[in-house]
Amino acid sequence: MRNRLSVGVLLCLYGVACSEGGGSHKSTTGGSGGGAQTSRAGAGRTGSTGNTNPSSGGSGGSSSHGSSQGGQTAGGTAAGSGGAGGSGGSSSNGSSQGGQIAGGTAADSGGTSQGAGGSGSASNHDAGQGGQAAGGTAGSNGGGGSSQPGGSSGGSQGGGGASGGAIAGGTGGVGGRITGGSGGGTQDAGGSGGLSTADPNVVAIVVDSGPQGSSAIDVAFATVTLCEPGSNNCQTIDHMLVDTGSVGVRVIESKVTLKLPAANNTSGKPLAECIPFLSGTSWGPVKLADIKVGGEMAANMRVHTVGTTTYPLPSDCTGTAINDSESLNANGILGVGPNTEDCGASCSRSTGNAGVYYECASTRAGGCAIAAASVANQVANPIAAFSVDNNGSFLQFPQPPVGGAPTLAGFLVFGIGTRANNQLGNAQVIPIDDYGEIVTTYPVGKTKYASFIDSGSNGYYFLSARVSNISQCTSGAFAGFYCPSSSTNLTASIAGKSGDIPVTFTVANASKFSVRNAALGELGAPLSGSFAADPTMPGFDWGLPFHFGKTVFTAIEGKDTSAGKGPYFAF
Amino acid sequence: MRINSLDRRSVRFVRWACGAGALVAVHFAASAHAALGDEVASVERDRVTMKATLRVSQHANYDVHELATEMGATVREFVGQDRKVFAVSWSGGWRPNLRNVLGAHYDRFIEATRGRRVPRGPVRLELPGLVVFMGGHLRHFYGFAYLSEQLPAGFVPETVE
Repeated sequence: MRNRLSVGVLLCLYGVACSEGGGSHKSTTGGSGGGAQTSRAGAGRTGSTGNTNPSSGGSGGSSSHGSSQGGQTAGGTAAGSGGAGGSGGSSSNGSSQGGQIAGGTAADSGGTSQGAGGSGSASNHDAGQGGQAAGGTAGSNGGGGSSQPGGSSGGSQGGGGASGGAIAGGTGGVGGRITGGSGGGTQDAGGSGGLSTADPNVVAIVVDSGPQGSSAIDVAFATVTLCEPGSNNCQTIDHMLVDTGSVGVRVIESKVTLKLPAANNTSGKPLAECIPFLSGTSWGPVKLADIKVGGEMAANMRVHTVGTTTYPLPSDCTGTAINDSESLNANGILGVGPNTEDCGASCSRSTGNAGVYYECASTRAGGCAIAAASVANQVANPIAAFSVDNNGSFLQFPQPPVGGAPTLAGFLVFGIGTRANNQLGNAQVIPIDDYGEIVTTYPVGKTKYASFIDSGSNGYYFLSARVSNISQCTSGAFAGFYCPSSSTNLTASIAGKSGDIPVTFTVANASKFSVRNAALGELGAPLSGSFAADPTMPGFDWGLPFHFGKTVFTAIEGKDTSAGKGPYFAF
Repeated sequence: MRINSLDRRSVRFVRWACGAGALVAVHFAASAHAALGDEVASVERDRVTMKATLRVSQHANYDVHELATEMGATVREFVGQDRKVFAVSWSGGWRPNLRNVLGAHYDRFIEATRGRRVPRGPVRLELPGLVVFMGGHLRHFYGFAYLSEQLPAGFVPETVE
């Protein structure tokens, strides 16, 4: 417990939400706020019902709206004061309809609090409506003297549609009241479906501006817990980019406080990896960790820790460096694409090796050299390693309002057809080829383009401006994105197993977007012009906005599903 | 991207090459890539480093040297009448070593992207005399770069179909 708590405090200092702490029932030190239990409809929390209802006392208060209607904002404020340890609060929605916002704020003031801050949380009761957003915040503070900073909050692991809340770190002040904690609970979600994070395969995810100091646009984030293999030494890492365009867990090296063992190649030497992404390249050692996401766990997995601290960047690891959270705009990546490992056979053979994996004989410059790594030694998809719900996943988001929203809550759900909550239903299967690609026809019935679906791309990337005949922004934060004079509706079709599926989408003038809005449903940009008539270059990259207002499934290669073996996409 | 990627690329290439120019040389049992701005002779010099098949197709005022590597990447070098590489493109399972492909222009490219917030999408960079584009996703990467002031007359770098 002490370990866990101190890890939490440390993480908070780094600006990483400690949502496990906030969301679990384990945290007893320092006074705990409302543990973010997930409650089913009807199982309302204790606490006053009605509007904001501050309570005082050592251990938090809670306020909840009994039943609110869509579009409302429920912000409960609970103030606890005094006592040893911080106190938290919680606010919850009893049985809320889609589209609500629940933001709980808990502030406590301490006289001489010694505790490690309070933890507070907010949770939504999932009333079967799905799509609520909850963001809890907690502030802890110290009174005079010896208090410790702390106070963490997390939209709970178990919250109805929660997102990580803000971090509030109260620092010891000179008596008086310090209110830490703010934010949280700004999602705006509709959603359908009755998904509840009470189910172990359901993970609340959120589109927001990313870790502190970031300005992410159209990037979905999840919280992931890493543990030293087989131990209870764990840390939660928030703002892990949810990416169906890559495979495996990657985390920025400097965010890792655990002592994760090196993952060795069959030679016995430690492995490192130079992995390319669309826009750059990430480098760092491969380590072993248990990975927990939502209520599911993959044991002793190979994860990529990204950074140049352990091993200097090799000269043949080329491309724009994405080796810190600033350039990544995230603390790591949760790669849940359709493959079981990130590279596959191209990295395991000795001739014609892709050059992604390295063996490191020393930590000096030049100490790492490209090496073959068997498939079993590669960074792998955690979903495929779960004991259940391991054949794929889906992402579900509501459609954000026209013009966007600061945040957007959604779900990452594991398994396809393995439980009542992850059935394919009417979703149509989209076969994918060896490149993970699909076929898009645009205009409908005319030209076919190799294409891909990628939640890690932050827009609708398609065609060249010359072909789409949509002008681009020439300056500002959205330079290069499409900037049509008025919003443009487009229809393409994606080749499904049972015929073409029309996809209608809108591209708006990006220069008109508020930079405050991290969830933009109408953001588009050119992909490329086909170079010198090269037909292999894809024409459509269906990025995150494609997932808004949809449920998009990703089936993992070789895994049986209710619609046959993966890999495939479906929506 | 798995084993048969090369086949797919090759098939597509043949289709394109036959339509766009004469296919003159097939299956050099050799490999490599010359860097942007280098002499065409560097293709030969680099051959040893990567096993690939080379096809050369001739066009009116430039040649295309296409290298299909065993790792599934296809690198095309566009060579002008001055025997210098004025453009490169790549496509395949994994991104080639960009230092090799961009040659002397690599540092310029990296310098220009340094400090920029990296977007979550394809990258297009236009510098004086140099255009670089790259995109892709795990197991399929592609991109191109060209010296925009050294294109042969009539060469349209980013065309449709």
